[in-house]
Amino acid sequence: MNNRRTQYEIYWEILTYCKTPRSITQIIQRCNLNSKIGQEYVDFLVSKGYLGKTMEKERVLFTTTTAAKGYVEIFMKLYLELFKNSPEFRL
Amino acid sequence: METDIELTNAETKIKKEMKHFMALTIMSLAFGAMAMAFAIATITTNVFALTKTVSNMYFILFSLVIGFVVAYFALRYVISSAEVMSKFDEIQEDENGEKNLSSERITERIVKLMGLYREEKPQIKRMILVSKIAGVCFFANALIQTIIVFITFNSGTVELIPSVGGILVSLIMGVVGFYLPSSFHKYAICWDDRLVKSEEAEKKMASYMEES
Repeated sequence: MNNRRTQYEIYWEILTYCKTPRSITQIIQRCNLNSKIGQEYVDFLVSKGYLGKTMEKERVLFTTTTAAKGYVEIFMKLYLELFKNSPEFRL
Repeated sequence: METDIELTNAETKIKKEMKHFMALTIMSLAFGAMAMAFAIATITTNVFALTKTVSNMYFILFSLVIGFVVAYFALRYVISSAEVMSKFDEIQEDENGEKNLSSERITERIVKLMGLYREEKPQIKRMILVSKIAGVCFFANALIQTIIVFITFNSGTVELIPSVGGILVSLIMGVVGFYLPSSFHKYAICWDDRLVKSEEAEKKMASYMEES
């Protein structure tokens, strides 16, 4: 689904997906990004130390590091809070 | 423990909200289809009436115009409802009847719903407007039909029961036309509030990222 997501939502999606090592192609496909934008996001997360790079059979794989744990947790906490105190709907 | 309860609450809320929103979209789709059928029936009846009689010509012409307006808006409404429903259904399908979702899966659902709302916000606002216009048209049609019945009643050219039936259907559709946007409006208010709060959350995340 080509939803309008914010950059923080995309970061979270990438970090959650990369709990197991993933290639850039897998990340781009799973997070529904174009290759240029996808690469930019991944590069940013690598620069922050949230994603680690490993080589496997001449392929670069990205894995979420422990440094990203704080971001992932704060994101989930803040997003779950959005549904707190929201009204209940009745037809 | 508290987090578990919060998660269950969030999960229940999301599921309920999705269920209600889906029901509302199905209702709006049915309303759009009925409105279109009713408008086409009005057009057909009035076109035939126009060929038979010259009395009440202006009322018939006015009914025809309303019929065309409602048919056009109903078609747009059906298309909009179908689009929203299909995208919403895509998110619901991901759930696949799972129970006790993890915080990650719940957050993923929230992200998808936020994205869907951001994308469909103009569409939903349009649906609210179109539904209100259709409601006004139905009330106008009911009024015109009532006037026609009053004018032609003494001449004995009108069949009372079908005419009153038509007026009642118009009135009911008019009421539904106003009920649906008010329900969508409640969702829109809630989601607009969530979008504002998500912007505040973004600021917190941005400062967290800068610090780390």
